[in-house]
Amino acid sequence: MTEEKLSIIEALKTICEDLFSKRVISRVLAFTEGEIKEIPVVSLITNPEGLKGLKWDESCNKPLAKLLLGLKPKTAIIARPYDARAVVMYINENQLKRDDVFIIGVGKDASDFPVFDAFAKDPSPLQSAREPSPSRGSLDFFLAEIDRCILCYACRQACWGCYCPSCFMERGIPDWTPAGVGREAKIAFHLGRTMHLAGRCVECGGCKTACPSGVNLKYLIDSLTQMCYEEYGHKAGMEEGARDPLSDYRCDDGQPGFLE
Amino acid sequence: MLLSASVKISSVKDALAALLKDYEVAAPVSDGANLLYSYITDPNDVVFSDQLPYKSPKEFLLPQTEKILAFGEDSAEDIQEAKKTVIFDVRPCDLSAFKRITDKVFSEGKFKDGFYMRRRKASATIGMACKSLKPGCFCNLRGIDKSYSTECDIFLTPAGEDEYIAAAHTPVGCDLLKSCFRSVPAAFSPEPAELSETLEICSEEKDVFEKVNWDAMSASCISCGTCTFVCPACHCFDFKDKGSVRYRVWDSCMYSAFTLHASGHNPRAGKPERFRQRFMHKYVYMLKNIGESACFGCGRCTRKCPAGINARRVLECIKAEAAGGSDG
Repeated sequence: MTEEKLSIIEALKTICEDLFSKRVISRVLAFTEGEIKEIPVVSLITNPEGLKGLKWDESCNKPLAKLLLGLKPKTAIIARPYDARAVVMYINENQLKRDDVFIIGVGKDASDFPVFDAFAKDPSPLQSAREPSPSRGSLDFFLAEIDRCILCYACRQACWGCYCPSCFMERGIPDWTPAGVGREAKIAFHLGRTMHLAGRCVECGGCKTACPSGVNLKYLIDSLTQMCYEEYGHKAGMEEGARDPLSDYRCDDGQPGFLE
Repeated sequence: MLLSASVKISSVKDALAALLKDYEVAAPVSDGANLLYSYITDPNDVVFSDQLPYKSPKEFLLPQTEKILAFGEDSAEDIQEAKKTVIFDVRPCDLSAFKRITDKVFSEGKFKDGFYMRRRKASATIGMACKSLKPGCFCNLRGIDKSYSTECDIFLTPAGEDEYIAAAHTPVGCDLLKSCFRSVPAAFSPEPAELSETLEICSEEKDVFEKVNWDAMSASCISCGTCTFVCPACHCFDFKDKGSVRYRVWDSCMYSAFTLHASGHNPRAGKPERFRQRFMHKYVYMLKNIGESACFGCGRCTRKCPAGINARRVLECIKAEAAGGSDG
């Protein structure tokens, strides 16, 4: 680990120790060292002792925010910008209260964070999770990715935005899905999920990093993210109180819809 | 062992080509992102490496989705599809999962599963020694000798730079070795491996169920089910009717709909209960029911877990907590 990363870890430890000693928080959601160097462990640290194994490097690229759901009282999260954006979306969608989270941002610039309670500077953070998209008409690329998918739903489970207690893929009435694990079912799932995330994606890339098969269909969601920004000036999780375009219907809306 | 022979590594592709004449052949290939078992058409696509494909080869005996029944107004037809298949480069952990778990569950219990049994009967397995433990592997703590197995038709052990010793363990294996491989008879007496003590939870079922802090144990799990999909021993399934066809599909105890009753009640309502089910099924219930734990330490779940949950660590923690003080 580089000197730079070690000093970030020391800074994070100091912040968390202080929060524990002042009883501001009861746990920290963070990455810790595991037995396998390349695989950081997602941990809920409940005492200062547990901070010893804190880890911070490029491998710590899984989004953490979803694990905040249902955790009370206050949890601190060591957040990349996308985690902070997810927290804002949770607050906007009434899934989380601002007071229940303490956001410790780690990034290049504090202005990348829509909200934070403490900040540690990381001069060389992860590259943005967004990737160059294949051309929109690339059916071959799409089908190649679909064929690699094993329909395990890891992308959905890793996604902060997929928190429905019962996914449309698991509903019996009406039954949306073709039986089996053919292309039809996989396409129904991925396109359905994409539509549900229109204007709600915080660009964490969790769908891709969690996928056991390395499927990359995030570009579909990216294109809707882009469309929402161009049409509505909306970016998910950037502003407390903002509503995403799909849940903000107005009769006098002059903008075109997604499906036109 | 019925027969042993030496086989040049350079001739194995020719053997695969010979097998392709009569069999479907499944072998490790790369899809650009991962190494995985897949049906091949060209032996040159096969990747020879010490790595374990990211999914187990169980899909060739228990496909992720299979048609099992088609019915009309007054008829029903059992679908009996089983292609003659050779699964190539299967490691000792996966071979044991076939022999000791799926075979026992689907063909040796009270209920016989014709679909699995037909596939198993039509399949031959060619095993291969593992050179090293990969990150996450703990077969050495699960009673598996990574360098040798008899639970297959033919087992290949590297001998020197460009040779395998092929050991045929079944009549099918002898036939395949004679007919498809260019081999020279060679004596072979594998050295018994020195195995570490097997890591098992020794406590009473009730203690494991009650004393372990399953909330804390499962806290970072995101219920994605990846662990069950890549596991060679997980075999839970569900049925789905669509139109006039009944399908069997893999299920996963990590999913919220697993064991969900029609009434809406779920006896395993939350993540901790589902996490408990996965580990207790593997290491407690299966041991009690069929005399084998359903884990052979292949480490796939650990390598693919998005939350970095290490199965061996979890097993050690469960063992320790279950054996802990009486008030838990």
